[in-house]
Amino acid sequence: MTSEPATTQDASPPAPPLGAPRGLAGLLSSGDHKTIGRMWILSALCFGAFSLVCGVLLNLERTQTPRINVFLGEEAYWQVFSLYRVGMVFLFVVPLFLGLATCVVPLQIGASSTAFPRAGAAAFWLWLTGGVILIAGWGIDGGLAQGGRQRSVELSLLAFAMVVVSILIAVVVLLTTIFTQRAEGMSLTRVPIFTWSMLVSAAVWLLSLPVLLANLVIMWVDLRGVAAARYGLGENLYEQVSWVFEQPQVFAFLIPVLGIIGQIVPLAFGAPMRNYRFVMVRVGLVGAFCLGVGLQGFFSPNAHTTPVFVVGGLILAFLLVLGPITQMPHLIRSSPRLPAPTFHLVLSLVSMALMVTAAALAVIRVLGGAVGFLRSFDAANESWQNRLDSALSPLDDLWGSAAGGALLDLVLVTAAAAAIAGIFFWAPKLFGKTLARPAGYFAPPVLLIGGLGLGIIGLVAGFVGQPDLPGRHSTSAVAQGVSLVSSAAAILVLVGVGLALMAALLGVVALSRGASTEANPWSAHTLEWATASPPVVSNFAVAQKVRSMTPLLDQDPVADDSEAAVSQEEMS
Amino acid sequence: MTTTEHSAHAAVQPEVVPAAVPPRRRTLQVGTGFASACLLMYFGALLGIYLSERADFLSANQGSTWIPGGAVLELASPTVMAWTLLLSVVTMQWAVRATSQADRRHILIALLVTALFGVAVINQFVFLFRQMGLEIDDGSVAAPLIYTITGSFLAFLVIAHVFLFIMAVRVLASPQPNVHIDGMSAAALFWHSMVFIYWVLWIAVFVTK
Repeated sequence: MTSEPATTQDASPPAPPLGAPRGLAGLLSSGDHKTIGRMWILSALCFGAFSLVCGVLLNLERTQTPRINVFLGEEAYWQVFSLYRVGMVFLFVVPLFLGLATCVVPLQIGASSTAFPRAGAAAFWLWLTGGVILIAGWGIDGGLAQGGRQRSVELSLLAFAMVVVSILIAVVVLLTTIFTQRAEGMSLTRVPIFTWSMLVSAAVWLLSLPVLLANLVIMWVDLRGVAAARYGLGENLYEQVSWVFEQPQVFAFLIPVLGIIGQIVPLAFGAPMRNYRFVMVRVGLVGAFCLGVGLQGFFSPNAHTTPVFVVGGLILAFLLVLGPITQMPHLIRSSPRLPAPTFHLVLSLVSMALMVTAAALAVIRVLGGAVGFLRSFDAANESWQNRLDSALSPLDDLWGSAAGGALLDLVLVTAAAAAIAGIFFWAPKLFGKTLARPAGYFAPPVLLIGGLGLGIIGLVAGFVGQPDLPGRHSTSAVAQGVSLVSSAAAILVLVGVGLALMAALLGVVALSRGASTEANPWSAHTLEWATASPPVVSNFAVAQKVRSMTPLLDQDPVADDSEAAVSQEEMS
Repeated sequence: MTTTEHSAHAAVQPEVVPAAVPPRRRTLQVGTGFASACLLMYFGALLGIYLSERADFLSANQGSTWIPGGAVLELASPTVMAWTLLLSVVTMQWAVRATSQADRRHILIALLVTALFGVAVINQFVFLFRQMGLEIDDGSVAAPLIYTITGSFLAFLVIAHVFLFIMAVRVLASPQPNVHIDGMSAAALFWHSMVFIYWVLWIAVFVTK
């Protein structure tokens, strides 16, 4: 094995086959995973910016300053509240990771395409249509809130179900790709950590999103009658899907973060990840403990006080911080060969910091569940209850407070920061160039400050009694002040996502003009860097054979290059 | 080895041939497996909610019945459906085996019988809906749940029929039917998942009421 990275294949920018449709027709009919992945990413960033605007407005409304009367009534406020959460998760973070995975995973495993390219394209277009209808449904007095017009609410539910189904299709495509399209020698234990993390995330989403779909269908069927019996009632709509935005399920959106950090940070520090199998097991365990389908507050209101929730929550938080704890000393001792520019590394470190903060916040909230568990031991004993009140009531009250929303925001900003880091890191493969510098300079600090602001300030808001579910009336002046700071933090996050969107758009424009760059600018060792930037149409000029976890270190540069050159000539 | 032997050996060396085509991956089967897992979770959630709501209702309303007055959930028809679907498992496997042996006649017969069983179940479901007299608007919590569960099953059974039809066309139109064993096995997997789901549904909704 050589110590130098192998020379990578160099190829001209990809050109569509002769006779293939170009322009919009080309986009609409494309089954190329890279094109579809780029469309997921761009659309998700657009939806993300829209959802964040809703978030800023909500925070401004919470300040309760008389001059800021953003919404016309409490019902509209509820509608935007639910739109914000649904949009941030299902139109922004999950599709962003799916887009990145659709682009990168086939390259990482040495596949020429995804398993079902047309199904992958159908998933994207279904999701985009569903997302637009979802927002339109909210716009015509629909949404998951009381007071909406029944038909509009039905439309919103259908559109939401459409979005969930499309994500499930994309997940099935991704999982099948990982299981069936790997290059020769690429066993599951050799796949890069990002692919592994996407495998775990996709498995968790595959098992949990059908449950959400079931919730939505029940609501829709109940609403189809003359009068809803229980599930379609306005005040119950959001409650039934709220488990997706709560602990522990919310951490399912953090699993790909572990993969992106694991891919970027060790590479930048020049220190390969230690105990790779252990890391894989850890990511798998995070996935296992994220499954919160059984902890639906609507059907079992005291689910958060059960031992399963408390113990599971603590283990989950421990697993999340275990990675940085175990890998950091090894990284510090290494001799870093920092990439230039370092944007993706800085964004990964920002994401790591936010993830550790989220884990800490999760522990505080789980302790609140533990207080409820302690209460249930002797519910009739007044002195026992009083003692708990005096010692632990702040934690107890934290459940159902703004701290829940803060945790969700923190997780989502963490995920966004990591996904943007991934976009910067894989930009040569996505866009054929490294991304614009202004976005790289400004996105990390604004996302860090914005994310920490939303998380920590939200926790403070929870302690001062601000409820998570919206009431227009804040409980105290302190809570109003806290909301003002939250608004500023939300604006910062919006700026960060906006910068990433601009950078990605510039990347797409450059790609359309035929941009191409060095195949392996970061001297990485995984298979996606073995092909040109941007990759050729079928990803690799020759079929890849893998002998270890670092295929680029194993390749025989001379033999592979000559083989690749012959193949390129044949292709041309 | 002498020089003569060596040259003779070299002379019989075959020409360089292209690399062997890698064996077909079971892409469709794996994908269908994941889709079936999705389906199982979906119905698992529906039945979980149903059983949880029924238990809560019965503990809160001692002495009253879960199925609203006036509605009748008979057991005979659902039981016949359960056994019909169980028989279709056998015919489906017959189709898979016939496909692996490229036996067109048996493929056609097996698929037709399977589809017939499926259509019979759909027909019985429609009959059941008319017979049970369960109004979705009567304000009961049971009605929307029962209709969601049975309606979802019916919808997915129709999808299973479509899947079966597509595979039938592919297999029967192909000069080599056994090449499509992956697709036929995938259709069978989906079908078996539907049968399994129905049996759970039958016990949870119709037997235990």
